[in-house]
Amino acid sequence: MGWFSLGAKHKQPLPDAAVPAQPQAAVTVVKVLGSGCAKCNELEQAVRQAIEELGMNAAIEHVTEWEKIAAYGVMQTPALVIDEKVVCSGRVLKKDAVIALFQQVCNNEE
Amino acid sequence: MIWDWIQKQLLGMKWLEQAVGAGLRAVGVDTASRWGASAQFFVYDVIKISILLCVLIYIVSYIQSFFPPERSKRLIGHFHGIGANFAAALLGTVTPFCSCSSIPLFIGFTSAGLPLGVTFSFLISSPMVDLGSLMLLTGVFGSKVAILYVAIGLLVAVVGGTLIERLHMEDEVEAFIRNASASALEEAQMTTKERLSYAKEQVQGTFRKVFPYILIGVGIGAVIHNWIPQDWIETILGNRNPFGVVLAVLVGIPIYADIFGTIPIAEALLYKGVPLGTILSFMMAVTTLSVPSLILLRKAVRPKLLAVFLMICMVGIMLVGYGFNAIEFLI
Repeated sequence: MGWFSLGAKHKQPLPDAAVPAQPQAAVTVVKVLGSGCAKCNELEQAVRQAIEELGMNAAIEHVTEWEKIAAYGVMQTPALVIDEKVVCSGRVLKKDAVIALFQQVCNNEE
Repeated sequence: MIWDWIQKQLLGMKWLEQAVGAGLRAVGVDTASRWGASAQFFVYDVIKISILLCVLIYIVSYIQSFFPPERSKRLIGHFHGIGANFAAALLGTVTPFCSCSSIPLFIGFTSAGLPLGVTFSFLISSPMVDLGSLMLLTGVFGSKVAILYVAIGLLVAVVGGTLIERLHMEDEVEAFIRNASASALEEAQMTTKERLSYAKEQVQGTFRKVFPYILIGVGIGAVIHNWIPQDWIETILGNRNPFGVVLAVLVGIPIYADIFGTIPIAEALLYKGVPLGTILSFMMAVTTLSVPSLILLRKAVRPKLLAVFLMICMVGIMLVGYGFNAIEFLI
């Protein structure tokens, strides 16, 4: 999964000159788990900033329903889920810590 | 002798009080006057509590990093019966807990098969007895008081949890919690570096959140210390009023302040002759229960169970108050 290469390996040939090639890299699904308290919103902000700074192809979702949150086995909110794996729970990470986490997960996958 | 030094100079920071006094006098403030004394008290106490807060939260968070709720849940699962209540009460003391996590915690415990009473023993002891408060109480009131406080707090948590169990109020827990199927999260292993960074995070976050409370608490403490006549306080909260404890608890419950904010008020009241038990029960009431935490808990349990929880906490706290007042002379 190439997060930082925007689909360079998967470019399709142009059907016609007017339509630009769509990047085909897999989208990283990032979820912030929390019911909307100040801490969860802080984490979401940090995550958004991290994604922007890294130029990642990622989709953020803020999960607020308790049934869904519990399904991840999380007992402390806010929690951060990257591609369905819980990477952090119970801490409000700052942008730099989120960036470090993203890079760590990316390195683990390669 | 060394213990006395630890209490007076290390935790009480008497040297700081004198330094602040000297500093103020050097700029022409008359520290013997009411305003001067208040200023000295204010500056000294804010600095003292801030330092205490940073050091204590750092140490406590490091210890707490070894007890994430997932681990506590697993550890409690090894016990049965009242032993489980006791384990829950003990672990509630060292597990970091924020009332906004009441629901996921509830779901986690309940779906792991832990009885309702055990979950409540955890929920009662968590805010009431925690490492930070313990260290603080040791510094302000001495280790005997701190140990007794823990013992009584744990007792209230175990008895309270067992009582809730006996009342069979399982169906008073919101349905979505009982029906939720939680998966067990593998416990993340933290390296020492990660733990220290977590501890630092907690200090920064907590300091920012709690500093206003410290300022307000010290302000109120200064007013009590220097402006309110001893007579008034003794009449309302002193030994002459048998309902002093009840009053302290009823006033304390709805409001919330961090324990660090209540320290200066407690010190000032102690100085004005309020009995120890009354002060402790006020501090406990303020930190254990509050309107926001009850609102959050209401999302997990129905009003009837919430009311029982509230009653148990209130009675427990009053027991602490009357109990300490009774044995004050023995400590």
